[in-house]
Amino acid sequence: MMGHQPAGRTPRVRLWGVDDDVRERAALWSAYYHRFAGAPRAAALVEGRQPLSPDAACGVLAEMPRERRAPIRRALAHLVTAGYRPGAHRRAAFDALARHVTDTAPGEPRHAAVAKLRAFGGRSTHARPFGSDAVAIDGRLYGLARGDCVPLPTTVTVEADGVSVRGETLVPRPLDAVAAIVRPQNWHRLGPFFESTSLVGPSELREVYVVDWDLVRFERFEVHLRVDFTRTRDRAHADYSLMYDRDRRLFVDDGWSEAQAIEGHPDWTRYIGVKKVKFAASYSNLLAPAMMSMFIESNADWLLKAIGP
Amino acid sequence: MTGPRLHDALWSTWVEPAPLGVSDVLGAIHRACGDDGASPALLAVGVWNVIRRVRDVESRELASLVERLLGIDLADARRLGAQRVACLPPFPRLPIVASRLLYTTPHPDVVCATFDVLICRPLEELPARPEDWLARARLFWSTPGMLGLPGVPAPAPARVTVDPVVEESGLARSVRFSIRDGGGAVVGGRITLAKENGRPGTTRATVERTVERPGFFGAKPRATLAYWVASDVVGVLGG
Repeated sequence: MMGHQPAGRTPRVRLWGVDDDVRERAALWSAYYHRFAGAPRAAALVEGRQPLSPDAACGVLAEMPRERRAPIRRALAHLVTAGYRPGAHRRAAFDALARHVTDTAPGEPRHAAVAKLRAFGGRSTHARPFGSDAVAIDGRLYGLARGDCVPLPTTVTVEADGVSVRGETLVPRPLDAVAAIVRPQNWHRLGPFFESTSLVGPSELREVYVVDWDLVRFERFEVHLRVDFTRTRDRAHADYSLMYDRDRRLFVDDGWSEAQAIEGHPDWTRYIGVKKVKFAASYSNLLAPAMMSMFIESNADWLLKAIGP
Repeated sequence: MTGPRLHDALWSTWVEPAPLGVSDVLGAIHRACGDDGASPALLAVGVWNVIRRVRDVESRELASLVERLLGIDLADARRLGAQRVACLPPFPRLPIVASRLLYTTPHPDVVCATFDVLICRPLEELPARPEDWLARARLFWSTPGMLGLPGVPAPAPARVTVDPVVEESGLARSVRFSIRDGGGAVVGGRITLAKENGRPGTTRATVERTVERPGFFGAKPRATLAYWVASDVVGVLGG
């Protein structure tokens, strides 16, 4: 962990020369932080883990490559749902970004894009297509935007032995393509939070992942997981559970991910990720729902990039 | 040998009210401890049932059996037994870590028991074929093809055949079977072994059995069915 910010003050950090992964991680984390915890209370409680301000996070999102539509849309939706309103200096960049990630045409009123983002953040868009394409799966019509994945509602469960998060995504790719990403050694392809994943034994995975609390401060976790991968005709499934972490900051880290064929839709695959975590530090547990949702949803956002065309 | 058969003694620990006294049961278990053919895990289940059902028995024989079969002292065993978390004892040397027994009675003449247990062994290493179960459940299948049921007095053993149907994927294996005698179906059931989500190398076993013929299991069908299913799970999956 580098540098410490006085508690109760949201940092306004803007650094040039910070690499894109750091910027994306910080912007994503900040958006989830504001959505789940709220800046006034949590900034005072969690010393050294204050996020970017909503406005600074929006600024980072506006500078990210536009082809990163899915993570930008998700983070922007969380900021809007958390109550963010851009100031005059940011309004033009925000409007352009909002229109881009929600497929809102220039002729449509500007509040239409905000309404789509708010609905997306509230998880009510699944039956309301806002793109030009749509598909009916399991009797429901899912809206698509330029062949993106379709995210389904994320579930957060607080249990005695940790916080459990379940995310589900419909991926416009056949099972064989998605199955490769379910293999534990390939998890590092699922977004900027993974620094590396490598098998160090037949069923042992070394995983390094990083959380950037803002553009300056970060935290790095190195964990060893017991893993098991199974491929069947209609599924690819991976289980994992914590063997140990190098710095002893985790009590529980287990879960599973699965890619399922969808009957009648050979070009579509259902991807499910479940993760349960309990940290040694109480303030990390306070933030666990936001952190775990961020990881699970970020993984889903990265699926298409990880799979390739 | 004097005293009740081991089969009857172990069965008695599942029956309410118990047809055999505690000293008879403990005596039978004690005698079987030196017998190569008796599974220590099955004997441990019998002792565990005695501890959980009879709280005021203090005997040197009971304390000795608890230490020998469960690996803990009597006071600890009583404390764990009072918690009623799992229906099987905490086995010190078996990979069984959690267990649950449920009964349903879909029809007044039909009794169904479901035993749900978590095994710390990979799915690929566990036996799922009914033949494997028959070979290892020797108390019930001491004579090939003859189902020997316990009870006082014991009913005549029934000659049966097993018709298995196997469904298999890399994530789960399921065997449906029915046991038949000359009069038709006697018992139906299903054994499902599935990888446990989020626990690599761990398998959840769900063993379901339904007694379809009224009276076949005597006057205590629920207890007999529970004893049979639990004995199979411990003897086959724990071994």
